[in-house]
Amino acid sequence: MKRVLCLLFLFLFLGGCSSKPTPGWIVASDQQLETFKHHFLTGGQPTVTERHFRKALEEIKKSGDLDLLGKAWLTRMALAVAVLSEMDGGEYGTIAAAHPVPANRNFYRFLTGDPAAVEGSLLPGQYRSFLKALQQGDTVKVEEAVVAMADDPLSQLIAAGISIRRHLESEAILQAAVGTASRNGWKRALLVWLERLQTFYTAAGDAAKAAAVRQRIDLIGK
Amino acid sequence: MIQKLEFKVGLFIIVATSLIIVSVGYVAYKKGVFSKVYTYTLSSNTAENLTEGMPVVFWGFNIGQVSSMELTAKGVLIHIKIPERNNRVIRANSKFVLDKPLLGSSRIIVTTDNLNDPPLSPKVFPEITVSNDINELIKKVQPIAEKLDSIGASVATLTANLADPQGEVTRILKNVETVTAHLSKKESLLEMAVGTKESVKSIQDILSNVHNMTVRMDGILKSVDTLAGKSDAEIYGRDGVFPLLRNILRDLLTKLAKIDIALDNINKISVEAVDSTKDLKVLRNNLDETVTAIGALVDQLERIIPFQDKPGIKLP
Repeated sequence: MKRVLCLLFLFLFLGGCSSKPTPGWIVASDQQLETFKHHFLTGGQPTVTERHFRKALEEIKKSGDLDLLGKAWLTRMALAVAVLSEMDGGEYGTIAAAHPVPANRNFYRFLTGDPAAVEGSLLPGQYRSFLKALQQGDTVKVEEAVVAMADDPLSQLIAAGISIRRHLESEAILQAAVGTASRNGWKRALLVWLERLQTFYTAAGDAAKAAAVRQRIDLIGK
Repeated sequence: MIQKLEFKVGLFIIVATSLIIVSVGYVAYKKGVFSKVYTYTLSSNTAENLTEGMPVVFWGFNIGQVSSMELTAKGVLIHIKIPERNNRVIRANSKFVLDKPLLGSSRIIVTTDNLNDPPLSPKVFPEITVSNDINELIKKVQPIAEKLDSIGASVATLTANLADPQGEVTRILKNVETVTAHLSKKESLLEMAVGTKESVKSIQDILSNVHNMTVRMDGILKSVDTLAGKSDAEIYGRDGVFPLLRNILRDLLTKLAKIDIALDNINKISVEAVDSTKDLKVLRNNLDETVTAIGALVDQLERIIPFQDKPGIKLP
């Protein structure tokens, strides 16, 4: 009887320990998307960058998971925000129409629309305090929230990009973005934010700081 | 006398000239200058890589050449000249392939399946197909690249599994640590020594855990071995990541086997309610050794394997 119980326990334990391996398409799509992000932010060759994104889409399409497909396109849009460039929604609109995902739609609104329409609970956790500050329209709180996001560099750049799009520009936000891009070696993002910082200093009439930033751009831009 | 000399000179010149003409004629004959030359017309949608004078080859022999090309509304017409002696290989079923080797100049290769077929009609314009060595090479390389890609994905899956906080290796290590921590508690060992029902069950549970861990670890080792068989020496060489990982896992297996033996011993002790002081001391030492080894193992794994988050696409 004791042996039977032991055997039963062993089977239960074995059953509990079983775990499924991660499917290949998830690993591949994740890798491709990560590589795409890296190339995008560092200023890799556009054709190579694009190829990785297309490859990521292909991998996701193998599963037919429209939620993930939408997330991939939202990632691309968020990266565009992070480098202050125009967003290309690509197939996101079609995907969202075919398979609406509240979290994705909410993130899309967060990137493009009115912050008041964004639901904080549906946003990734790192943005919540930033969203709150953004909804209040308080530049100081926004810059505090952006600076506090240093642990998540990409999200910090995205938040900084959204602040700029909402005309909540400040030296602290720009410096935070420059510092983050610099620490992570994201050259493309760094140059964009440095240009923005230079424009900010020029507009503020601080010619010395603007010249220093210009010099930095010239030195690293070569 | 003079007339005789003039006659001889004249005869010499005539003979010499005749000999030269005959020789040249013979060489020309041998070269096929007087033989009939057949002209065939091939068609192609492009004249790219085609040139006048390009050789026409059959079984590695030059049997003719491209004489001229002309651009028409329907494409390019290529005229080839084949001497009569080689004409027998140009049949109605002959195929003409423009061969672009990786190295060297292009040529038209003729393949004829049946030399007894009727001859190719000059009114028929067979189309030239293109054989591109570079494209062929790319076609051959593509599956290899895909295979490498899939090996890379397998490696990533394995790495992800190792890195996964809920993954097999982490779970095993956690289990081992829980087991060893549980066993190293003084109260638990005393209970076991007393041999109560609860303590026997506890030992059986622990034994089940260890057996289970061993089985799972063996599975992982097999996966690593299989993967190593497919991969290249650079990644899986003598000093590569996977042999190192395999050695570490084997080391862990040895340590687990030690615990297994010690636990078997305790199981006997608890069942027979025999004095267990000596065995408990040995067990305690084994457990300490195992805990230290596992700690070092975790450090080594973290150093060797590029740990990453569990893959999955999330919003940035």
